[in-house]
Amino acid sequence: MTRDSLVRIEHLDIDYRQHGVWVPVVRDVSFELREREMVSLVGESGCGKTTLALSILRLLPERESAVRGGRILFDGSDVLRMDPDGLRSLRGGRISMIFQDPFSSLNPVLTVGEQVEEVLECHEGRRDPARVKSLLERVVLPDPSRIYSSFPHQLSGGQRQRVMIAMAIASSPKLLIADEPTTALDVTVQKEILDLLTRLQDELGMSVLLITHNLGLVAERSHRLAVMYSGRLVESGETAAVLASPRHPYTQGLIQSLPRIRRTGSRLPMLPGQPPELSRIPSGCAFHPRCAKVFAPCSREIPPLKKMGSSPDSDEAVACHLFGGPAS
Amino acid sequence: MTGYFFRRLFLMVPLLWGITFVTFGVMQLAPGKPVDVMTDMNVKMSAESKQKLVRLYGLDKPWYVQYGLWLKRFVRLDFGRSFKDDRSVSRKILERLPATLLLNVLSLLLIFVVAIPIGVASAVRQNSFFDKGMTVFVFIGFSIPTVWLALLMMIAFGLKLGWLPISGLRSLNYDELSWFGRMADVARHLVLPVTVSAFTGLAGLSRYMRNGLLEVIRQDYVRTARAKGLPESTVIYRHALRNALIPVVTLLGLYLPELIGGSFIFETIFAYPGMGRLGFEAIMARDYPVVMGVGVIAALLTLLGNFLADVAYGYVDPRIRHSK
Repeated sequence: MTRDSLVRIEHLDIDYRQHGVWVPVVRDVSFELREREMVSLVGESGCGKTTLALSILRLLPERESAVRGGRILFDGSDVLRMDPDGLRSLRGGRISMIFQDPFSSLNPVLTVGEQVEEVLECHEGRRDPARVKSLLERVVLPDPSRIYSSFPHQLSGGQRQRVMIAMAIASSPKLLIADEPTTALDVTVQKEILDLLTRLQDELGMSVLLITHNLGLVAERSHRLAVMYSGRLVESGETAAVLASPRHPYTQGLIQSLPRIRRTGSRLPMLPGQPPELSRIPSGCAFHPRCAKVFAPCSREIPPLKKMGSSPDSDEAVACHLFGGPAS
Repeated sequence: MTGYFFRRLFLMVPLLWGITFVTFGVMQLAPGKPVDVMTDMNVKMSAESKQKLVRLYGLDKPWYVQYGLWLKRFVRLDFGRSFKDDRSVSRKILERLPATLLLNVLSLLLIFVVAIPIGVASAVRQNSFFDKGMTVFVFIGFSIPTVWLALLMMIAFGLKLGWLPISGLRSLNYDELSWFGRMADVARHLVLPVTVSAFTGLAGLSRYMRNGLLEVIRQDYVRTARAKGLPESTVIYRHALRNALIPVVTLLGLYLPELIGGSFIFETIFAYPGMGRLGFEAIMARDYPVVMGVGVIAALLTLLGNFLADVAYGYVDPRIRHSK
């Protein structure tokens, strides 16, 4: 099934300032998100996945970050060149975002109702308590009237994340970015929240960019999967295909280190070493010091992301010297 | 919530008792006795009549007995009589209290009304020319001894420029003025003392407000507010400022004692007819009943300030308001 492109990121470079020195956080990332699809962006902490997500809404801290190059096209227009008015109608309107920590993401001095209603007021110009309550109902919060006048500290973590979701879907966005939406929650609540997101995506016909470091979460839900390492995209493709036959040694390592119910007795394999510090990214392929299949070109040249697979509309791509196919 | 406030009010009682005890003790430790001041310079005073005075005031008894006697009268709200002119201490304080309250309330208002916008402007335009200028101002504000600043301002605005009166609260022709003229006269007298007593607080609070707001702007919920597409003004004033003001409210309770303590000095410098100067003169004369009276009132005002700050804190922070 082919779908129309919704977000297109082209050769994006982002730097952060650390102790007065600019370090690369995102390098040469190109990436596409289509309508009504769920894409997972996977990688270890600090690989640049959250930065990438925040840059789509231009929410990066102004003084400490800089987009050095590339374009972010949403529905054909470049987000990086948008004026403040255009950006405001985009944020919370056509693109909304939910964050990792529901405990700190809601304003402690405003009621839940006020915070959800704000989105409607901002994008549709009217206050509508009845709509807010139906939104709260839609994200399966019990007793919406009570929740409406509650303060965030009176709710549980899962309930707060549901409030964040209600806020995010208030103006029927085309894209929902979920930045590790379940990391701060209990395991049982994690599944409920992801089920809710999957259901809402279907009902509202939106695209979802799910950022996570948990491969197990994405396996059954997302259509496509992209893996990041040290600021670069190292592999992408249909989720099922990537999980079944990962090409990049890093992806292989991630999948092997997933605990499985049937495999008992043996030690869980793990990737040796640590992801590199941003100020000291190794030459060539950033993964080469940890890679079991390292060979001559790895430390010299950065492998480009190459299209894999036989059919021309194949989604699979990998950035590794082991795969010397034609450059995409 | 209500229980919390009653508990706070109740706890003020032992605190107040402690304050009176320490004040009394410190007063006893200070060299010189009330009777010395009255008699030493007076050649007609014999040793015998001096002893008579000592007995009259109960100064021959041990200090703890004196304190007990004072406490016994105090619980009946009787502050005793001044050693100096034998007038009722409560009457003397009541005469002076309104002027002191006027000065301190105005200073406090000035501090908050000026410092909060300065702090917000500095934070919103962090590292701008304005922000850096304010940093210098705050540095100066903290470093200058206010006593010296008071004298400097008296010289500049009172003597050199002649714009403002430098002492007292009323001009000599006050009684001849119209109602409006009287108001204007008092206002002119208040400018220098209020400005000087607010100066340090102003510098501190504006910096505090700036840093508080910068801290809040980094919070996740401010990013959420931005991600919702709210205009920057709404993000700052509705989401960030309300949170940044919570700790500032508690400073209200901390500035009041500072101002009242400062009153003793400012009121003396500006010959301002307030409780602070009454207290200062009483200390110099070892006029125990007046010192104790002024001490108790100052302590009560301080405790009241703290209490009000607690109430305000509960009002602005729903997390406190809802806890039992």
